[in-house]
Amino acid sequence: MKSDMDTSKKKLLSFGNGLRLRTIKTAGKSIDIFSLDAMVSDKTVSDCVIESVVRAAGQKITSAQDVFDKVAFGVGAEICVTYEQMLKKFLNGNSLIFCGDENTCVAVDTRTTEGRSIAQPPTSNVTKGPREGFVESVQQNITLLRKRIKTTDFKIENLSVGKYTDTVIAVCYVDTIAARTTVDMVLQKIRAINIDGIVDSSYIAGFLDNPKCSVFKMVGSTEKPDVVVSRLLEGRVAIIVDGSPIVLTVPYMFVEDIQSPEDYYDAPIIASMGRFLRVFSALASLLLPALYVTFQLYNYHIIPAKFLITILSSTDPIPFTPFAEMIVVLVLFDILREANARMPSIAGLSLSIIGAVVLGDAAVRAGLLSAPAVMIGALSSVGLYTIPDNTLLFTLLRLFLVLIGGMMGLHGMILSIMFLLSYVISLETFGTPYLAPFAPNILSDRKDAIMKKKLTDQIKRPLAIKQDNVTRQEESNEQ
Amino acid sequence: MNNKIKTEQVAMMLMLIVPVGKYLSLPSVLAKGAGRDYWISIILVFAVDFICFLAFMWALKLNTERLSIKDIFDRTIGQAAGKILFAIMFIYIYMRAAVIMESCLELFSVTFAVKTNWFAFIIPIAALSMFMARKGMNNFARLSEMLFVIIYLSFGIMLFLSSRNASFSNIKPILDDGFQPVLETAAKNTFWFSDFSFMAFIMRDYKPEKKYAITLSGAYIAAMAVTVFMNILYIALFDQLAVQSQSVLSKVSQFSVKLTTSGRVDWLFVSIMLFTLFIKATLEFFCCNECLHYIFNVKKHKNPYWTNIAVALPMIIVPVFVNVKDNIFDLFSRDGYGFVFWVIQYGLPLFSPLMTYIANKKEKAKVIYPRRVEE
Repeated sequence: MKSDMDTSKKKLLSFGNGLRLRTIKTAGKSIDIFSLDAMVSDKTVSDCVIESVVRAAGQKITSAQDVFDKVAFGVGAEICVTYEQMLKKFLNGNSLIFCGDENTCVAVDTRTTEGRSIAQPPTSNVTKGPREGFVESVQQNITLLRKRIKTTDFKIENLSVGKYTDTVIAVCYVDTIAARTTVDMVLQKIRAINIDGIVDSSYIAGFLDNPKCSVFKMVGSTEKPDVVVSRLLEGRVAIIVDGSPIVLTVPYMFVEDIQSPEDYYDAPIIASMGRFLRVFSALASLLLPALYVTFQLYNYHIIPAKFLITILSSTDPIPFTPFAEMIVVLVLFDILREANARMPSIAGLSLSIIGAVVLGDAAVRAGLLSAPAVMIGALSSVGLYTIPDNTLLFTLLRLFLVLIGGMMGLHGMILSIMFLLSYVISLETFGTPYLAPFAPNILSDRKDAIMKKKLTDQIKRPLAIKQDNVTRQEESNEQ
Repeated sequence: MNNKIKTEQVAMMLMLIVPVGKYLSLPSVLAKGAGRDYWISIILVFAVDFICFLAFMWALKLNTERLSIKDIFDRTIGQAAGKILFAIMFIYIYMRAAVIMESCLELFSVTFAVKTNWFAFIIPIAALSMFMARKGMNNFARLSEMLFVIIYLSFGIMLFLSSRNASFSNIKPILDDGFQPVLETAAKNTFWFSDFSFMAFIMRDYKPEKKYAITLSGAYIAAMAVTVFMNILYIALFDQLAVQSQSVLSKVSQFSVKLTTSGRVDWLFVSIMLFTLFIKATLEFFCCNECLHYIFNVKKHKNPYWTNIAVALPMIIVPVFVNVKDNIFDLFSRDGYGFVFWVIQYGLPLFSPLMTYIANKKEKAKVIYPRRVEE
């Protein structure tokens, strides 16, 4: 046993840089305190560990149990028996207290809480409603949820994934609402992950996703605790990954991308109008460039004569075909978007203005591009951001439709749309149809789809999501 | 994917599938036989169809054990006879799909002034059909309910705009040439009707819900009414020229727009309606695919690629050598050989309640003896 303990200590000592060892002599045996630099809070180690040990130095401490009973006052103190347990705790920022040559030690939670403070998430600004956003700490993120769901039915199952990162993953759900099958499926999928490291929640999303559905986003993500809470109350399961401010939710439906957190803090009619605009602009962004090319190349009869004359007069001096012109415009906008996303924020704004306005204007003045094409390209590129989760996918689909429209005209476009619809309609995540409540049509779920009804009318939770308890509120609430 | 199909989905499929295909080449063919009274021929065939449809709905209700059409055939008329019926069904559906596709190409050429190459036209459709055949009937059901509103909205706009220029006095005097030509035309052109045939393939996945009969009958009647109205409108607009016009769909709305102010905006609605044509064609491909499964004993949950290819490939190649549309129209409309398929169009639905009843009774009567435990 002694040699085992020596081996554990030796292994810990082999950490080299970053390892801190403090030995304190007591009335009984000497006590060794191991901690890992940068992972522990110096103040907590001093106050809760070293100070306690020094204070107890006069007492007779001969075993880990004595340390646990008389010295370790921290809430998260725990006796570790095996080296694996010790190592895991040690690497997670716990301080290990060894008593003499004992083969057990006490791990005291001395993790540092240093990190980004809770702030408004940059990806989902709201003018109304809560402004708190998730941070990189899984504990803090759980706190943000627990603050809002005060029930014993709120369950959290902690898992760790990653051979080298050993990342903590918390699977959260409301036990009396979420379907057990969905929870089990999520847990099973996460447990089956065998990877060297999980750096962000998007890594987990890749494993939760149905491999056949790689084109469309099948896992919801948000940085807002209020959104996660509302999704948990609809029977979904949330996955929090340590080190990531983005929390995943499953099952995910396309309609979620149309919904904005603000919709729930506005009047239903305002929210409905906003959603309708989002759908309209997303569809226009997707179809307008392709229709522009198709109408110009094959079906110009559809365009009213006066309008056609205007377009022809502006496209006449252009050296490109409408098809090539639209491709150039769209690629140009995509380059600007990509560059803007990666530019330093100081230069970003000014350079994006130069890129968009000056380049566009210069191209039109130079006769390289026509004004209608630039206008449609710009409108389409801006419009895609009304559905933020699927912007990049829609960018790709838009290019694909322009290619088809340019090569095959309306026939190709109709067929492409049918292909696309048939594909999306067939998608399901955790037993939930991706296009619900439109296909299949679920009337009660439509109360919170594009047209949003009053909260008092939403008696049931979304029926598209498998759950154990579909009643959201008693009918007596209805006024 | 959940394979269950709901009553509303079937209703929407019926409303999309029944009218479409009857606005392409069929009106002019019917008008040749019955003149301006050809819409009465349509009503007559629809009336017979409706009786068969009611019988089929009854069969759906009787199918308490959720047996497939193959199971029903196997338990009543036997496997060999069942395969023969499936083979006839395959030919019937296949030819209808082929004609729809050729008419659709014609519609494209006429409407959008593009002489589309056959291969460029049909290969994407064949690919779509193969794709949809792999996804199952539920995909058609969901696609129909997804597109239903937009299709009927554009349909409504098109009919409304066109009816402003129509002279409905053109349909008078009714039955000026007597009832005989109307009746003959109806009897000769039955081949193009009985659009509810696809319902034979939903028997296993569809469980009749409350008021299913009212919903489905209502949908079928509405679909028939739309079809008849569209054809009356066609005569009201074209009168004597109705015989000559091909691709009715694009012609009906041509007077409803002013080119200078709105362009041929009606073609946008025509384009939206093309969705229904493609849904119908791909659904017929799907039914053919299912027929092949039954004929060649493909297991329930398997959907081999070879059956998909076997359905799609001839659709691409045969029309290159044979004028499918004219030949089939000649065969089944002018020469009146459509009665060959009456066994599928009318015989099968009319006998389906009895067959379903017997098959379900046999299924229920199956006694599962417990296996003797060896001691």
